[in-house]
Amino acid sequence: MTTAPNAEPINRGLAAQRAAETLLHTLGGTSIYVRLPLDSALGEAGELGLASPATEDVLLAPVVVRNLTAPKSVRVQLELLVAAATLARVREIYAVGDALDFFNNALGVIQRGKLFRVDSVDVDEFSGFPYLYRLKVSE
Amino acid sequence: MMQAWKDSFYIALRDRLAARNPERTVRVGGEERPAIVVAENELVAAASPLLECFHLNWKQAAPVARLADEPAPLLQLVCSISYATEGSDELNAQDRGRVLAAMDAELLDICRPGRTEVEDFSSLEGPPFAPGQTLFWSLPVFGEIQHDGRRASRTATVELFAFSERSAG
Repeated sequence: MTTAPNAEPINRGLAAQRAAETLLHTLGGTSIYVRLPLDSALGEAGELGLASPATEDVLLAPVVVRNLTAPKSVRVQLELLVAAATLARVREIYAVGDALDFFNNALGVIQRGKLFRVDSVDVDEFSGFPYLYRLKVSE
Repeated sequence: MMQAWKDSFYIALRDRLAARNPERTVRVGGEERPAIVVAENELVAAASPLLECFHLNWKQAAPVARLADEPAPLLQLVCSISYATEGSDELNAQDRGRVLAAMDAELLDICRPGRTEVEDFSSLEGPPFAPGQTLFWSLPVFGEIQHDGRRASRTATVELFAFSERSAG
């Protein structure tokens, strides 16, 4: 006799994913663009910094933006909260590794017309399911 | 002119690496190329440096003191070349010392002979312009191996020299 797998942790993980996105909506989520380089064969010109690949701006919403800029600092730092469900919906990204690749390969994040560089990405997980990505970005 | 020296050095090492070990390649922007990159020429992303790839970082540049008053002073540029490995999964990373040693040997080989013709690659159209200069450099000086968990890395330093052009007038 086989034992059915316990669906409880899976259900809780999926619930956490949906709840995170709903919460970001509720908190007045805004939108950001993630700028990604497109694969292109630039050859020697690219290696020498004489040519740059085309880029694609990917819209993510809802996103909650928190200002982390230290007092008296001239360098603006932000924390961006992105739900895992948003990434799954927009780019069909489900695995943590794929999400980290997505953000770490980005040339930056555009928020209110300004380009910020991604400094770090942290993942919040529940029951083995990622439900929230926390990006620290700076000017 | 200094840019032409930096470009010529990179191209020389890249072509020698492709001949020395054609397997040592890296995928950047969907393009496979010899595993050597100039850090300042690459896209700025948050991703960590590529493994088993030579990273060229340009450091200080200064006239060589005793030859600084010559009509065409001898200039010195310093280039640090960093590379790292995490070994292979097959050997549970226990081969990281061997991989690094192989890269040491490759770096030593591609730095010899320590000279190349200077070419100006700044024009995207047509072949590079050769101003008839020679760039020469020292053998790499290898720094200590750094260990960070599974990752082993090393930085070597190469000193490059070339005579600067006479300024017009």
